Amino acid sequence: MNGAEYIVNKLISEGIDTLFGYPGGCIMPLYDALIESPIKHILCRHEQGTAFAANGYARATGRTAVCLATSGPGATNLMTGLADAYMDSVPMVAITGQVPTGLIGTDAFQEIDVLGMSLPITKQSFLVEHIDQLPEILDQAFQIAQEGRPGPVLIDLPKDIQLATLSEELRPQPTEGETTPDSPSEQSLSQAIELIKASRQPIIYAGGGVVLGDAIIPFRQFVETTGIPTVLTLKGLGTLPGNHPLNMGMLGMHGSAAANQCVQECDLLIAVGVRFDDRVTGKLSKFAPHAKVIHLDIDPAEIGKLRQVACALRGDIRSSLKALACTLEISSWQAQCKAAHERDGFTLPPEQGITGPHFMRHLSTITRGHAIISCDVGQHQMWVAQHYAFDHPRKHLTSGGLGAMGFGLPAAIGAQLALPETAVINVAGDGSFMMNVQELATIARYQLPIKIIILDNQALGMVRQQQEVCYQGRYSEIDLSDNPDFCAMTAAFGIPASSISDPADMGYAINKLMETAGPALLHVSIATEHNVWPMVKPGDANDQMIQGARQ
Amino acid sequence: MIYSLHIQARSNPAMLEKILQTSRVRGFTIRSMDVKNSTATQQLKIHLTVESNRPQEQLVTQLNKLPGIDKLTALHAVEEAAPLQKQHSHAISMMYPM
Ligand SMILES: Cc1ncc(C[n+]2csc(CCOP(=O)(O)OP(=O)(O)O)c2C)c(N)n1
Ligand SMILES: [Mg+2]
Repeated sequence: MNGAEYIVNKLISEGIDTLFGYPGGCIMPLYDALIESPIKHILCRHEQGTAFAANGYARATGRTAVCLATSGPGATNLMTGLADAYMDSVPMVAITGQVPTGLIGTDAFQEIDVLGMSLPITKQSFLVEHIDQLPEILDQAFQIAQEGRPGPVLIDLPKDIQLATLSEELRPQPTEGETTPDSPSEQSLSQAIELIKASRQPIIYAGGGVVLGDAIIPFRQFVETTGIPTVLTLKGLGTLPGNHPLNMGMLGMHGSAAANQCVQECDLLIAVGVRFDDRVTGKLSKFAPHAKVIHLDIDPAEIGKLRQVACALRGDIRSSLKALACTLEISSWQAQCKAAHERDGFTLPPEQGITGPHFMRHLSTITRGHAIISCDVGQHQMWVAQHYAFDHPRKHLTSGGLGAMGFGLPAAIGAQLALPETAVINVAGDGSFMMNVQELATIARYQLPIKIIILDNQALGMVRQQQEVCYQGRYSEIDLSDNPDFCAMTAAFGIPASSISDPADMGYAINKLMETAGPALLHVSIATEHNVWPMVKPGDANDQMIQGARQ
Repeated sequence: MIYSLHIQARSNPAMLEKILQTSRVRGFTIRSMDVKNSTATQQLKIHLTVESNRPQEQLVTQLNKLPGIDKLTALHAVEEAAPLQKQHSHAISMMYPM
């Protein structure tokens, strides 16, 4: 058995049924071995597309996804997708071809130091220097990608290693299941319970770590048993259903004023699977200024990184949440939060014409919050977060930490392949859509029934908004009024497309789109001037939210 | 502050780079570094002295989670240095991306 054949067997033993990749010189032996394999290989049309597709697959399922690329430009094109997975803790294994070991360091054709380049954006990177290392490196790669806080792992694989014969006939084994994660000490748990019981105005601040820790059910039980009002980060949306009475909504820069108020006034902040991102906290020194903090996280490096804690609960979130459940008497605080939520929750803007918020409310109602929404980055992404009522965080695929435009379309491909029966919708901006538009060809080739919605404001809207608010309306390079005819372009890929600009057509057009059997695109014209409100200006405190023209 | 760390790590390609990079990115300037690479045990033994305005814990927790770090001993602050020049010191509250 040669190295390439061993890898294919290993992938099968790991339960990998779908690969995302793009071939080239230094990865040809592996592509040769794939011909006879039962694994379905999805040829995207750009390596960034392959990395984002694998990323979407992993986000929608929680299972490790694999992507392949050749050396040099293939590998460099993968990097954005790996960086995105690194920042949002997505389990992935990327395998890149490399020039033969004897040529490494000679500036050979398509030789790039991919190992070096990937170091800051992977959990671990390997260079296979000898065929006998291959089995162990593959085992470690799958283990590291999924254990603890998940993340991407890169294996750089010289061409001669793919062709070399393994000295023993080895049969790959699946990686050992989950290692049992540590649990916090009894002492710190009882300290946390004391803090909770002593608190009069507690808030739960929950993020992406809850679903990563497979803790959705214990989390919901904890919220309901304690009755503590809860705010969610962008990555935490769906952790409590959108309409749950204790869900005070998203906090942060484009969160609701109500959610931010609750946090500013709380005396105890129970931080669950979050990392105090600057988009969440605003000016850090003014964030939840009266609160003691209990921080639950699997990653010790996150605890105390940005905010001092009164109690650190390092380890498995599931077991911690179960241990912390207790009943509290906080009805006046609950009433205060509820009143804030009713007064200062997200509202629909007064503007005429189709607006992002109105459209998202329609979409949410028509799909009943059950669809997978894969977003790009910008204003449209925030409108999804504010107005689509997610029932589970794996339904919301969004590039949170990296904020990478071009994420949405390829990520939808990965999600749809993983979950063929689920409705998958890409909500794109006109700017973001063009960043991986070549993936329309992938959707057409595999006839994936993805629904694409472009919210076309003929602008890099989010940048425009910040120029309006922070740079006195001095607009610089945000104009996209010469966008292509998106419907004609999509039709050229064989995908049906239609366009609306009248609010009266929204309901009909969304229903029609969702009823289409295969892939389809809906182009939605919205005004350039609409902004995302409310907003905390970068660097301001979260109690300095601005409301725009509405007030 | 100046801190001192002893690290034992598996000797694999890029281990040393990863340690250097983690120190730099997390805001710790390297003052001195002594490395022994033993081929017999496939182990790196590193003595590292770093300087930063940030607490040592912030580097230790990040290094500790790198795959391949076998042992990490953080020694007490070696000395209280004069504050670093402005351009070297990233006070966390000053960092606001767009
Ligand atoms: C790859 C990448 N480049 C640049 C940016 C900076 N950026 C953030 S939002 C944005 C505008 C996005 O425009 P569009 O997709 O049309 O969304 P809109 O804000 O108009 O809804 C830009 C340029 C980014 N996030 N990602
Ligand atoms: Mg736009």
